[in-house]
Amino acid sequence: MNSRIDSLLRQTRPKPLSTTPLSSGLSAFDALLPEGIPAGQLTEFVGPDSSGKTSLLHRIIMRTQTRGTSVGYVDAERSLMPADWCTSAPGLLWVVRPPRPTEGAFCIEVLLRSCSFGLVILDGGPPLAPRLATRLQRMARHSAAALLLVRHGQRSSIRVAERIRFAGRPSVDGARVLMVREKNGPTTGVEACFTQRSWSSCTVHASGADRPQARSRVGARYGR
Amino acid sequence: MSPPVVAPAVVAPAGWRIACAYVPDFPLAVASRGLDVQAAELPTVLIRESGHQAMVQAANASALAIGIRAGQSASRARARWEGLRCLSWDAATFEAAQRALVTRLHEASPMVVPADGHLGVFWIDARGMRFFGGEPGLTERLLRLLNVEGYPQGRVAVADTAVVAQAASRWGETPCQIVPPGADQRFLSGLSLDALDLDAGLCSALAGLGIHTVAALQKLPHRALIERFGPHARQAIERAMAWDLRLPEGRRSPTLPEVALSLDPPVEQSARLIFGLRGLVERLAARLIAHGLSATRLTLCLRLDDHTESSEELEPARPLHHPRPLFELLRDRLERWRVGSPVVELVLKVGAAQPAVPEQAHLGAARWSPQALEGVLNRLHGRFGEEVVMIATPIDAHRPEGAGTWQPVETVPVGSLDWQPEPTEDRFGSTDPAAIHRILPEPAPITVRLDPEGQPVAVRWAGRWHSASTSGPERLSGDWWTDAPFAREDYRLHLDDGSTLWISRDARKPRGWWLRGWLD
Repeated sequence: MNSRIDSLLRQTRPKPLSTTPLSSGLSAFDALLPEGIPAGQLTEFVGPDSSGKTSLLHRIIMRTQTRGTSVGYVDAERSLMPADWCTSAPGLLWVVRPPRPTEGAFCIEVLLRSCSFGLVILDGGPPLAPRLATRLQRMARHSAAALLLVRHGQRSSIRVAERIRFAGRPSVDGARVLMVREKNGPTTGVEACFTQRSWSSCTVHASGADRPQARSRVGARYGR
Repeated sequence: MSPPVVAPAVVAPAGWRIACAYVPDFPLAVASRGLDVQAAELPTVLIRESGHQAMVQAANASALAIGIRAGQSASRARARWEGLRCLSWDAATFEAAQRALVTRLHEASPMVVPADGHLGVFWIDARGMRFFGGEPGLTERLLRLLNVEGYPQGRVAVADTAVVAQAASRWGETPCQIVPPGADQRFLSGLSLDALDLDAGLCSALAGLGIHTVAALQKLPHRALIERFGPHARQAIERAMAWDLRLPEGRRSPTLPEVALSLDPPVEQSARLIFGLRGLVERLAARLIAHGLSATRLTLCLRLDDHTESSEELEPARPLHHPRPLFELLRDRLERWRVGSPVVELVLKVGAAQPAVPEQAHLGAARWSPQALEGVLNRLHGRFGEEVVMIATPIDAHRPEGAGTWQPVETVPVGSLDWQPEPTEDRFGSTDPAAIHRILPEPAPITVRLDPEGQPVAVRWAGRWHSASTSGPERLSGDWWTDAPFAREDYRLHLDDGSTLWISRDARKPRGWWLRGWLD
């Protein structure tokens, strides 16, 4: 009887939260950070606007979801475009959009405290005070979640486990990005390329009624 | 997504069956008793005098047929028909008739109660009738007793809830209607809104929106309806969904719990209030569990030293009876509460509840749980309102910025975390990952230099001029069928520092340029 109860308990016991680092699946980034984004630690992405941070984040989030890991994303600047973030598993990506950028830290604290997210991202907002950053780092360690801070502009003064600096590279065929690992590694950078999708593929239906090719089809149908 | 947005405030306790006996135009029926058939068929009205006015309160079928209506003045009604029989309204007689009828109906069931505020409506406990012919036997006996008492027009119905029993007795196809157990909502969905006896203002507003049936009301988003129309809408939804705990005692049962904590001396610091709140929540949770209920609406009330009161209503993300999530929900609210005077009493009331759903035992105490996510929702909703935790949903639209929307997460969907990885790495079918947009809440004006052909060649961005190569234009137009048509040309500017901006200009007035966002 005891062995049956033991086996039942083993079956019903939840999987422990994964503490394996998160990878992006992007070869350039994985070469730069072979051990991935560390779980239970604080990582910082720094760079000016339009330097590829969000594109890489998107990649990491999609990759994290394939592991069945839930992601909490605090969009403190409220500037994400929803069409880019429609996933087949909306329950695995909660985007928190506080009314003011200063409230982002509170949201991060709530997400970390729940121990329900494997990756928690604070995107934008004012720089974290060192004491607050230390507390968040401790909570990330407790919940075994990877905590990622995204800074638009200059790097912050807080202590982080990893810091990646981003810079855009001139290009017309796609968005070329230079990524430099500033901590715990060589300061040389790697380049990655992100595709710039055509305008039509940004919408659900590429051939809407107001697009030239669709208009001609409608016209043909009605003999115009 | 179609779970009810508003958790049911109340539902009938399991196993209850309620009968409703209804005598149409009860005062008129009482006044006309004892008349022979010919006399009873004459146009007859009941006149009620208030002040200097005598008004028609009720009219029989013959009077209605000649155009006399309740609410008309007595003189106008008399002018309609010379031989109109006018009987005076006698409240004492009607009360006595009700009491006599209750006594008579007790022969069918031990619990018979006249409905508050409705003459001629009686609630009857319909449980435990299996040895007396079941519910058909009960309804048959009730009809017979009504007939014996002189009300052959009486109607009877049996249902799970009082609201449905009353509607079925009044609007049912036959004088004797039995709504099967569990079919209350379905029965109501076939009726018009009149069956719910709603507030007249709300009824006309709903009619203006094209909502004429209970089925249409059931399908409306409940929370939005309540936000627009207030408590009347809440009542309407409760009735339409057959969430009704009224029992034949004529009051709601079981009583919704309420706990209070007196603070002596009065407390000013929120930390001490929170300390007191913890014990209060545990007491409330114990009472909820004892009643087998989960709270769907709570009221936290602070009684202050200056004899005033400050209260706030909270709706948790899902029905709650565990003390911990209840405490988290209330603590967050209390932390931000600013009162002008010390608090002398802390009161916590359950405004609405529903039967608690049995839960799986917490084997292994999972850290990853809907309860934890529910705690996240409660804290964030409590602080920022409901439009804070979002999931992205695609929309069929032509403008890139409109091709998706942020949908608030209101409840923790069970099983939402079960997800099978997709075989493709990138949903856009590209080997390289796609660049992602950042958009401004509203397009901002931006300074652009153009070449002789009108194409942008330089732009002022981040405090300095940048030379730029261009891809575009993408011409978009549409919404000509609305008040806000659009026609614009979108460009992507690839700047010399590697940034890519998304700008546009209005194709109808191509003067100014607007920054919509950038690729990041």
